[in-house]
Amino acid sequence: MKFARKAKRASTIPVWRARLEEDVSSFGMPSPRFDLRVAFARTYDKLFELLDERLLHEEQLLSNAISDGRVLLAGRGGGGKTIFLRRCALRCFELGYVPVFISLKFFTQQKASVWLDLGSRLAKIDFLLRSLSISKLGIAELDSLTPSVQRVLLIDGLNEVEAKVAQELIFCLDEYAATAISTSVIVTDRLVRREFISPSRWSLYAIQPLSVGEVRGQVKSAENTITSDQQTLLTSPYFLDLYLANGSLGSSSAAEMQAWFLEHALSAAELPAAAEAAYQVYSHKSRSFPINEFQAIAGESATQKLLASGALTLNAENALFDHHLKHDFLASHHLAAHHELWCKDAFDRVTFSGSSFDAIMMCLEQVPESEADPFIRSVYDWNLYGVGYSLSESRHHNVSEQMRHVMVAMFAERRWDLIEPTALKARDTLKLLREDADSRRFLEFEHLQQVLNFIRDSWQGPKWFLNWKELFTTEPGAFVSDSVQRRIEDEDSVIGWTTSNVLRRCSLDETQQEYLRFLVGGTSAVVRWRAVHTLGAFPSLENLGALTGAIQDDDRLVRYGGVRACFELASQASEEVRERTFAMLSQNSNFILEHASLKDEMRRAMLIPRAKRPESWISSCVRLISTWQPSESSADQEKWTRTAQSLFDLPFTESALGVTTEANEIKV
Amino acid sequence: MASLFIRLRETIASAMQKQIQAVHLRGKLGHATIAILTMTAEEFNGVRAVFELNQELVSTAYAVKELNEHQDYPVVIRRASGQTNVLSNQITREILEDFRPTYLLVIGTAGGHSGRENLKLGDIVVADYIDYSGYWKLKNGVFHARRNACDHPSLNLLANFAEGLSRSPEEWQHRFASHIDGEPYPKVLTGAVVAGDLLMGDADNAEQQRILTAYDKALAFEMESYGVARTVYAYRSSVHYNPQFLIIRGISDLVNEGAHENNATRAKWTPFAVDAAATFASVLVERLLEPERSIGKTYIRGRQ
Repeated sequence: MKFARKAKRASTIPVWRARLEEDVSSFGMPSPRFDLRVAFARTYDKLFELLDERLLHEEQLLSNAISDGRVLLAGRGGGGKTIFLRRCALRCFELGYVPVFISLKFFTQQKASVWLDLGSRLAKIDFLLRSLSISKLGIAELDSLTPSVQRVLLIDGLNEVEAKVAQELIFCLDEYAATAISTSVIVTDRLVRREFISPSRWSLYAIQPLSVGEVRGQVKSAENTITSDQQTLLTSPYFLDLYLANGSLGSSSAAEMQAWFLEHALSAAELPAAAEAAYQVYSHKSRSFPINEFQAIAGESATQKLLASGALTLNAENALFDHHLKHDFLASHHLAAHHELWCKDAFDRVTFSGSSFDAIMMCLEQVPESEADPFIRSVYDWNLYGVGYSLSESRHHNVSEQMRHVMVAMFAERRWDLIEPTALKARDTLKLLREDADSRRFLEFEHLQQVLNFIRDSWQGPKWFLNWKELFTTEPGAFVSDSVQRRIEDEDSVIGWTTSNVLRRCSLDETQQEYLRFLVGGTSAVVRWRAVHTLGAFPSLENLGALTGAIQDDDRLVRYGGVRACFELASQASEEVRERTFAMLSQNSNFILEHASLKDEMRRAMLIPRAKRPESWISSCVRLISTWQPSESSADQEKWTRTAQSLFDLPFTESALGVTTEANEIKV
Repeated sequence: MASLFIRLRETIASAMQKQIQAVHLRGKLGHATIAILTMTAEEFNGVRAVFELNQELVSTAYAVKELNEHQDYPVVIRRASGQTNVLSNQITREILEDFRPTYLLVIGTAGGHSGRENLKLGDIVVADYIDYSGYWKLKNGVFHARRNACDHPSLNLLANFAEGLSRSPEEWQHRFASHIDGEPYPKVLTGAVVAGDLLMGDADNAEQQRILTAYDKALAFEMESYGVARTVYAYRSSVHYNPQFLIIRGISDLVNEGAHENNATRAKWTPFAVDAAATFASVLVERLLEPERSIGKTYIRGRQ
């Protein structure tokens, strides 16, 4: 018996090691080896600005991951994140660490829905480890290792899953890294701002484009020559690899992809059906999909050609593309050809609800000049950040200069939004567009007035643009006519929302505010939303009454706008109106707490900078949080805790030790 | 024979030392045997002074007695950014992750309920159970208690350290700087502590009275212990880590009487109550840190 027990103990650990070795050795590492480097950023703000920071290789990143505990490695599609992470895994092995590599490409919708229903975050991590890693080590096995052994979870492709799942994954990893012994996590993602439980505990890194010297060296050794324009695309490891294999280069990412498919896999006649199939299978909210579904649309011949070319790989019943850019291109090709699909559902589908914008970017590269403006406007209606990414990352597009101006102006105004997360997102988007001189200028301006002055003096264009410009540059505090106010109902979303935003900075008399309250009771949901958005800037008991109606509205977006407007109103209101606003929110908790998106918006809306909020703001918000938190799920309880913490400037400097914080003043 | 015995003792001591080292898990900033959490600035300053934790850990919110190149500290202290269980929950997370402390002590003040266990202002309450008073369901005009799982104060710390010390007041009272000649020393009581999200400042308030009645055995009422208890519960997820916590509160005001004088009473008694809790805790911490006072050492001595 003793012998048998010993034998079991002796064999268990080597099985683990063997699995880990198998995991790491299964990586396909491309040749030639590119010199991949990352740059460090403490915050997302810095991450979006990174230009000439000190660059690190995988050894240094790994060392920092061990000391910091949580690392997020962001980069563009085709930027080499996966290869970099694999190098980290190999390095872990050399150092005697226990690396567990998980690719989220295989996180199917079916798995994700089971996963989301799991009760605790540790159970979710365990599920992830057991179902997606080759080693199949669960939490218990990892925990049973001696504490001196360093465990490293390497999670590849946060952008490969739906935004909601990606965000929950971050929370799970955050909690796991906090509680598990000797454990660090490294996650790869796009340049998308995520929330963290403990933001200060994450180190952010951006994978850098290949250096010009590296590109030239690789191209020279392949005995080819390139133009300086082509050189930009080739700083992406994916495209350089493609170029070295093919020896040619298209005018845009989409053109490059199309050329590859036509040369290696599909005929021109087969491309539309394959594109439709690629679009349709994204409904699974995963990079992997049932092969028979794809084949039913693309056709057997095209599917076989894609498999033979290596673009599609098969794993039992499911298939996935060897790189998501190929799948994104095909989906974008279908989207570009179908104007009727340019709406939220389709955009959510091809981007995993805003996690990965390459399909949108490549779609923009493909739409003709006559449709480029309507397309980018549709994207604007869906997701601000999508506009920024598409315009900045596409190598060629047909969006008019005036439409780009409109977009940049809208982002610029949001820089001064009362609610900090909104202002942050606007800054991120302008930073993405930093190649544009106006975006850079608007980032530097200190006051909105400077933006308005610049636009008024500098931008010119056709009549529609001049009309928009006149509306947008309305002076803060100005009195507006009723006819201008009524443009809030305009069917053109750009005009309607511009009006809604402009009215917020104008002086509206009681009759005009009454009209807005009337609109809150109207039939058009989008007009109700715009009216609610404007009313948030005009604190009064009457407007609070209208916002109460909005909180109870049947349309979730109106409710969403109502929640936000309530906090804006409360932050600017008299003590009496503020107290009534918080009381109203508390009484209407059932309308807010039933939807995760409303709760998230409420958490964001509380985050109004100290300089712009009343002294009692923290106590009012914390009291509301305390009322709701106990009955929430543990995940939501933790989110509320994080929000409460975010409301404070921590008074821990020596000079601040004697300071009584606002929360100390909370009374019955 | 004697030398053999000495060698055996050395071997045991060495093994014990290794065992101690083995359980010294490191957090992101090092290891602390004991971490102290305080809430208000007055509590922080008072406790810090008693423990002489005057060395800031640069770029962190912690203070220690002396810097240490191995980042292995006997005691670290940190203050929460404000009151409420929400914030104590968050700060406790940070402490447990930063230092993986073996023991976590919350030292500060609380409102006491006079008429229970003869509790008086300035007395010390060591919690043996944590209740949370902020989670109810109102149904047909009746409040029904709702509960979330949480940890409770460590039986080890209570039974083997706090209760023993409370029975030997001479061990700590002589250090109590705030004692006034002729006045009685604070008593140390063990009992339930209720943590809510309301500062119990108005004995006439109906909601306050409802809570006091609902927890009819509780000795003290404060706003943070539940947040700490929830976090410790969440962090007890590894076979290698068994954090234990204790709540030590000096009574700064009475929640069931003197509604109009509550603020004045609290202002007057807080320094005294903080000093009492901190002094008692400082001796308890010495016992935790001194292995020769442990049962194991006594056993070895007994064998000698």
